[in-house]
Amino acid sequence: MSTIRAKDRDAVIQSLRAGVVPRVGQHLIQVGRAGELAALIKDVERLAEGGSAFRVVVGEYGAGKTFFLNLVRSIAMERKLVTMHADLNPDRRLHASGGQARSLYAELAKNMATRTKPEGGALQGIVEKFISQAKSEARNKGVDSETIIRQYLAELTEMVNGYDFAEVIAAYCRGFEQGNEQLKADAIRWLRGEFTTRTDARAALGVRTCIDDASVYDQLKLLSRFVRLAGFAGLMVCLDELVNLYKLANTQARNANYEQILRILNDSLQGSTGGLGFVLGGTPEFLMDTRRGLYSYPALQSRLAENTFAKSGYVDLSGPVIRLTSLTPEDFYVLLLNLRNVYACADPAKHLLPDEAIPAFISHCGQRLGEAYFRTPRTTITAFINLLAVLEQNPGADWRELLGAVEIARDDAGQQDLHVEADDELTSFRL
Amino acid sequence: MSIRESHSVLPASGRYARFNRPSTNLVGGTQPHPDDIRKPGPVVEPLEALMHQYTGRYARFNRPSTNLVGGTQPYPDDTRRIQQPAGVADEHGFFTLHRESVGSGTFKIPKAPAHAAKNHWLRAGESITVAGLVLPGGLIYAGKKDTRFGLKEPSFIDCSLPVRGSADDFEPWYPSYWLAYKDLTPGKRLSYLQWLADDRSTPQTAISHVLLFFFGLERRAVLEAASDEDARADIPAIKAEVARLLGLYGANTSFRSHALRLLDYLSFPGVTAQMYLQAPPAHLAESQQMSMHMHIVLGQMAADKYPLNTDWALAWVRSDPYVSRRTSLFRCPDQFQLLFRQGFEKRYPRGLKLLNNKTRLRVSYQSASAYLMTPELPVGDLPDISVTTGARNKLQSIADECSLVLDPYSRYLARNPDKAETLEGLLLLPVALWPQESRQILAHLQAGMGQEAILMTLAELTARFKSTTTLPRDKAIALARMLDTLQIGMEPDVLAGSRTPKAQDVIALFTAGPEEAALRTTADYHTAAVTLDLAGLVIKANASASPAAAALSDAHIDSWSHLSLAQRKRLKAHLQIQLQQPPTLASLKKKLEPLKPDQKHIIARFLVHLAQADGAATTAGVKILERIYKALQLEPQSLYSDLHSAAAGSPGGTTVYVSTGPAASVATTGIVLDMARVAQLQRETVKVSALLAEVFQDEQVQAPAAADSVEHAPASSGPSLYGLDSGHSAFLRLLISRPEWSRQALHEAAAGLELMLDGALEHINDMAFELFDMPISEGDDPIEINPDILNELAL
Repeated sequence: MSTIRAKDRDAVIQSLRAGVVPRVGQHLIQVGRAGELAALIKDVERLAEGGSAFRVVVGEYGAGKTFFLNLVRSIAMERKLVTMHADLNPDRRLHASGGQARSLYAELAKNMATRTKPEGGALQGIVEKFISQAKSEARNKGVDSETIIRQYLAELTEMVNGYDFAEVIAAYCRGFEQGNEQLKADAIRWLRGEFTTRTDARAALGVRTCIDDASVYDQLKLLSRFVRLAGFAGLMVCLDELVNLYKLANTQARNANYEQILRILNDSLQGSTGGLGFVLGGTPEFLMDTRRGLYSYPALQSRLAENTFAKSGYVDLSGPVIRLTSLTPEDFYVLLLNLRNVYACADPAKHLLPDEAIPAFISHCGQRLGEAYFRTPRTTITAFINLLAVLEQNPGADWRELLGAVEIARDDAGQQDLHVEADDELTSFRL
Repeated sequence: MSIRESHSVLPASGRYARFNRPSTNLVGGTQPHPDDIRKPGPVVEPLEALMHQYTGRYARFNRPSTNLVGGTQPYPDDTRRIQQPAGVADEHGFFTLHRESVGSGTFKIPKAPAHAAKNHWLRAGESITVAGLVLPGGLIYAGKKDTRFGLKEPSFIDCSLPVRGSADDFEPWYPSYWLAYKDLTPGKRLSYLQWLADDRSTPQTAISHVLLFFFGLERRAVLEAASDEDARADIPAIKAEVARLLGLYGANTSFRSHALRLLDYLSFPGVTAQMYLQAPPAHLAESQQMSMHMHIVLGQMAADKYPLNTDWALAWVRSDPYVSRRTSLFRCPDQFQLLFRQGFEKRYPRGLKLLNNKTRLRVSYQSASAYLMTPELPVGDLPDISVTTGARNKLQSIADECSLVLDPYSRYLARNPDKAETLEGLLLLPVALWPQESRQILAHLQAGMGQEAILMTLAELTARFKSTTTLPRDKAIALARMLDTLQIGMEPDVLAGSRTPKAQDVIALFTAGPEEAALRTTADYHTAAVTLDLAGLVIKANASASPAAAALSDAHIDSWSHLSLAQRKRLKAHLQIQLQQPPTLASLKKKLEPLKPDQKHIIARFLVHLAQADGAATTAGVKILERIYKALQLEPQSLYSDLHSAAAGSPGGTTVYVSTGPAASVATTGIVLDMARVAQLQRETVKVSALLAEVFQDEQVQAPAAADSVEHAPASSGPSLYGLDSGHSAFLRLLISRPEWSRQALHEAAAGLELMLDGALEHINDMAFELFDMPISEGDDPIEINPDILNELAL
C-alpha cells in the first residue's frame, strides 16, 4: 500500500465523514478479519470458476457488516464479477404478493455494478456489451447479428422465463439497429423489472410476461447466466439488512421469505446455480431468534447450524454463516491508524496527529459514550475525520485542545433494527 | 399461759372456742354429737389435746370437736403422742416431761383396737355375705355392729346397717375424706357392696367406692401392721391389690396419688444410715410425688455432706412435683434420662452439694382416710431438703434444657405413638439419643462419603431409615441439620431455604466442612447458586448433558475465588443435582428478582458460553436462553448479541470466566488498550492487506509485462489498439481526444461508428482495468476522461 490515489482517498474520507460505508477503497482501511476475508475471496474465486456461493454475514449493529459486504462486492468486481446489491426494507422483500419482491429486484437491477461502473447502473452496459460481442462475431462470420444472439440465448430459453428474456435482448438489439430508442428503453425497463403489468410489456415488447414477485429469483438466475454470456465471470448478489424479514410480523409472510432463502441456499449448496453467489447481511437475532429468526425455520436452522467440531479454539469458516465480532478498542486503534494514514495519502510525513493522540482520542470517546461506543463506530469515525479536517486546515492548532471539544453523538439507530412491526395476526376489537 | 390453770376456762377461750362449745340455742346450727366417745375420758382430753391444739401445725385437725356433726371429727387413734415427747413449758419456763404411759391414769382405757380389728378384718380371699351379696375378695373390715370400731374405721361394713334392697342410685358420688360406710344412704351402701361383690373391678364405678375400700387397706397396712404381725403378713396382698386398683382406677388423680403414696410407704425398706449409697429403687422414679425415701435420702446426703449424684438427682427431678416437669419427661423417659445424665454430669462432675438447712425433716404417712392418724417415722435429725429451692432450681434448669430438646419429639410421639423409631420421629432428637440401630446406619452412611458427592433420591435415603413417607419441610430441614452435625452436606440446601425435596427428587450428599449456614445466605452465594440453577437448565436443554459443559461449569465454580472452598464444594453438588433434574424456570423467578442488573448480565453471558461449550447452541438451547433472558428482564435482543459474540469471539480458545462476585465489576474509568492485541491485529491487517493487494493490485504488478506485450500491438497493427477491434479502437482514439464529453455528443459519435455507447465504454474500460488497473472514462453525463491514464496510453 505504497500510494493511495487521491480519488480513492477522497471517496473514502467523504463517505466516512458522511457516516456511510465507502463504496470504494475499503481495502485501505480494513482491519483484521483475515480469515473471514480469505473465505469470501475463495467464494469469489469459486464463482468466477462457475461455482456457487451462499453466505450469511452475521454481526451486530456497527460490527461492520455493510463495510464487509461492500468490501466483498468490490473484490468481486475486481475479479470481473457483476454485482447486485440492495438493502431489504418493508417494501423490498424476497417474497411478497404486493410487488415488494419485484421492487427488490428493481433495486438490485438498478444497483447492478461492474468494475467499470462500480456505482451501479451497469445493466445497459452489460446488455450492450453482449450485443456488440455478438455483432462483431456476426460480422466476422458474416451472418445476421440477431441469429448469433438467438444462438447464444438458446441456452437461456430452457430456463424459467428464459424465452421472454431472450426476446427482450433481441428487441434491444433490434432497437439499436433500427435506431428505435423507445424499444431500447422498453427493453431495459423490462430487464430492470419496471413493467408492472403484462399488458404493458406485451404492448411495448411483444412478450407475454413481465418480471413479477414470483419470478425474482428465477430472473436472477437468468441474469447470472446472461452476464457470463456477456463475458463476465459471474453474478454476486448482496442483500443487506435482512433483519427486515425478521421484523415481519406476519408469520406466513416471514416464512415465505425464509422459504425463498432456503431455496437459494439449497440451490447454492447443491451447485445447481453456476456463477451465482449470494451474500446476506443480518443481525444475530435475525439468525438466532427461535421465534422469528432463521432458526425458527427448522430446515434453515439445520443447514445453517455451526460445525459442532468447531469448538472454541477451532475456527471453521467454511460454513454458510460468517460471524463478525463487534469492534474492540484495539480494532479501533488500528482502524484510526489506518484512517490517519489514508488521510495523509500514506505519507508518514503528512500525519496530522502523533501516535499518542489516538489512544487519547479513544479514551475520550469512551468517557463520552461508555461501552456502547465500540459497538457504534460510525459517529466516532466521523468525529475523528472531522478532527483531522480541522487540523489540516488549521496547521497551528494543538490536537489536545481540540480533543476536548470533540463532541460525539450517541448512535441509537441500532435500536431501530430491534423495532418489530406490530403483530397483525391478532387484534382486539370491541363491538 | 399455764395449761393447768387455764384448762378450766378453756371452752370459752382460744381460737377454736366456737367449735368447742355446743351452741345450744340454735336450730339448724351445729348439733351436739349424740355419742361422743371422748366423754368417758374428759380429764385426759384437755391436757393431751390442748398440747396439740396450741403447738402443732395440725392442731386444728388434732383437736376433736366432740359435739358436732359434719364438723371436724374426733381423732380416735392419735398415736402420735406416743412417739412425740410431750413437752409443755410451765409458768417458770420449765418443761414438764411425762414419761408414763398415756393410758395410765384414772380414766378408762378403751378396748384395744387391734383386737377388735382382728375380729373384723377379712384376709384376702375370705368372703362374707352382706345383705344377700357375697363379697368374695376379702381385704375389708366387716362384721356385726361395732359402733366403736365403726367410728374409727370409715370402711367398716356394719352388717346391721340397712341396705336398700332394689334401687341402686348410681350417681356421681364425689369422694370426701369423711366418707364412711355407716354414713352412706342405704342405696349407696348397696351400690358399694355391689362393687365389692363384683370383685372390685367394675370399670365404671364411683371413685368413692374405691376410696372407701382403700381406707380399709390403709388402716391395715399402715396402722395395724406397725403393731400386728398378722397385719404385716397381709402387706403383700394389699400391695398387689393397690397395684391392681391403680391399674383400674389410676385415671383418677386423687386416687392415684393416694395409692402411689401407699405403695411408696409400703415399699420403703426402713430408715438406715447412708441410704444414698444404694441406687434409687426403680419405683421412686415412677411415683409422681416426692417419696419419703427420697426425702430421707436427700436429708442424709445433706447431713453427711455427701454430694448429690446423677441417679438420685434424676430420681429427684422425676418425682418432685415442685420441679416443673414437661410431658416429655414421662413420654420419652429413656431419652430424658440420657439427656439429663449428660447435662448433670457435665455441669456437676463431682455431684451437687446439698445444704444442710434448718428445717427439720418430718416424715409420716399421709393417709387418704381422714380417720387415720399414722405415726411419724423416726428418721433422725435430718434437714428437709425439699423446702429449699437452691438445689431444686439447679436441677430444674437442667431438666428444662432436656425438655427443650425433647419437646418436639415428645409432641410427635403424642400424635404418632406408633412411630417412635421412624426417621420422622428420630429427626426430632439429637443423634446421640437415637437407637443403636439407626445410629449404625448413619455411621455407615458417613463412612461411605468420599471426595465425590453421592447422588440418590430422597426416598432411597429415607428407606435406609425405614421410612417411606415423604418428609415434610420441617423434617427435611431437621434431616439436613442432622447430617450437618455429622459433616455431611446435603443439596438441595433446605437449611438455606431451598425447596423441600420430594421423595423421588435427587439429593446429593457430600463431605462438608464445618461451615456456617449463615455463609450460605450471603448474596454472593445466592447469586452463584442461581447461576448454577440456570446453568443446569441450559445444559439440560442443550441436548444431552455433555461432559464439556459440565466440565466448563466445574471450572467456573473453581474460579469463584470469592466463595470459600466449602461453598464451592456445595455448589458443585448443587450443580450435579440441577443436571439430574433441572428446575423449572418458573420456580427460579423469585430467586432471580434480587439480582442486580450487572449480575444478571454476567450470569447471562456465562449461560451463553455454556450453551456453546459444545460448539453450537441448539434450537432448544437458544429457546431456553430466550426464556431465561426474559426471566432476567434483560433485553431479549441482547441474547443474540451475546450468543453472537460468544460464537464469534475467543478464537484463541481462551475460556472466559465470569465471576459472579463483587469483584466482577470491571473498572470502566479508562480504556486500556491491550497493545499485544494491537500488535496481533496489525499483523493480521498486514496479512489482509497482502490478501487484498492480490485482488486489487497484483494486476498492476503484472501490468507492465502485459502492457509490454500489447504495446507492440498499436505500433504494428495500426488501427487496432490494445487488442480492441477496429471500431472500438477508433472510438478510444476519439474518446481521449477531449477531457470531457457530453453523453449526447458521445452517443452520436458512437452511433457513427456503429457502436452502442454503454457497451463500448464497458468494453474499453474493461480493457483499461486489465492493463492499467484504472478506467479510462468515469461518470455518465458528462463522461470524464481519467487524466492519469493519458500518460499510460501510448498512442
